[in-house]
Amino acid sequence: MRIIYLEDDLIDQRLFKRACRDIENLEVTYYASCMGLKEEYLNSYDGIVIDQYLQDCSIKQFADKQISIPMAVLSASEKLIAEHPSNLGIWQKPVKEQIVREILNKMNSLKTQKVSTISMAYIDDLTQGNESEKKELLQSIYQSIEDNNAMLQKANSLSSEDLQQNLHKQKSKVGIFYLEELHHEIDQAENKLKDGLAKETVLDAVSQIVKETEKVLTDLKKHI
Amino acid sequence: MNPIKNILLVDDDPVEYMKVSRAFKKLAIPNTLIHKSDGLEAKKYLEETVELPGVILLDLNMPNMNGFEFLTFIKADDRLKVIPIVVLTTSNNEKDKIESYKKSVAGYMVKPIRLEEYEKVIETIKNYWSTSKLGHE
Repeated sequence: MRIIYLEDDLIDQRLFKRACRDIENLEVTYYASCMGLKEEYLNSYDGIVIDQYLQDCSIKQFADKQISIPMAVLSASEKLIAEHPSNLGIWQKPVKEQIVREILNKMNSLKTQKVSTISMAYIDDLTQGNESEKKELLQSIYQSIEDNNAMLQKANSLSSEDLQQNLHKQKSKVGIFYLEELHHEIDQAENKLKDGLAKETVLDAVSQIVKETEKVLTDLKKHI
Repeated sequence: MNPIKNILLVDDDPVEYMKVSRAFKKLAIPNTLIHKSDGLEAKKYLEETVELPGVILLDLNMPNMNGFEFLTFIKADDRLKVIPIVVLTTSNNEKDKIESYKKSVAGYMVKPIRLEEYEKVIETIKNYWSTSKLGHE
């Protein structure tokens, strides 16, 4: 497992290193600040452990980042000062091996539950800072995802071909927000139908896709 | 003088057009990108235009006339069958790939999710179909 630990206090970094020394298959990369760390880079790790009060990059600023991997907050205080959809919770310092193991277990279990945080990187690039264009584009994509999801909810009554078409449309749309796992699930269901398997073989997967897409729509609504 | 040829994108998704268009701009591809929303629209355009495109970028899943039906039409037309067609799709299904190559496409590219990878795909198409085929010097 590869994680990043963001901590500007060298003593806390050393305590963390000590807490991790007997944990196998763990690779920790240490940073004293999150300034300049790109989301794509952060998202290439399995998880982030972050100090709540970093000197030059508060957890509040960090909350705006599009992080799609689980994040754990360490603090001397019990109170979390900013929420993030990827946040697993807050753990109190000083860090001990048991705390690190607890965080890693949570991160591991989430790996299979999928953290689906939408990324606006593509939309931002396409609209080049034009806020009204961005809203208009998001609104139209939102509508399209919602319409497709309504069709997928009726998967039982759709023909195999129509179901495949709707999955295909949905796949393109969720891809815009870098929802790779959901994209992959939809792709698998679509491919099964394309390969001639019976509609019944994908109905459970479609039902799961519908549920996950509903969460995406809720997240997306916040940006419109 | 060899004029710079147009590139025809056939895709029903307006966001895909925005993505390709944006990639063209970033990569400073000088060719004009013409967009048609399905095979039928593209067929009509090709039947009426005097200046044929240098390359056609073709999506497969489209309403009215899908990518395969469009390929069948193109390959049956002596004037049009010389235009190289690159399939640009989200489908990584083997059947789609085989069917496309059976219909003599010049390339089959799966649209990547991430922006930077998407641009690489467009760049690959640009590099491969550059100079004489697309008309830039």
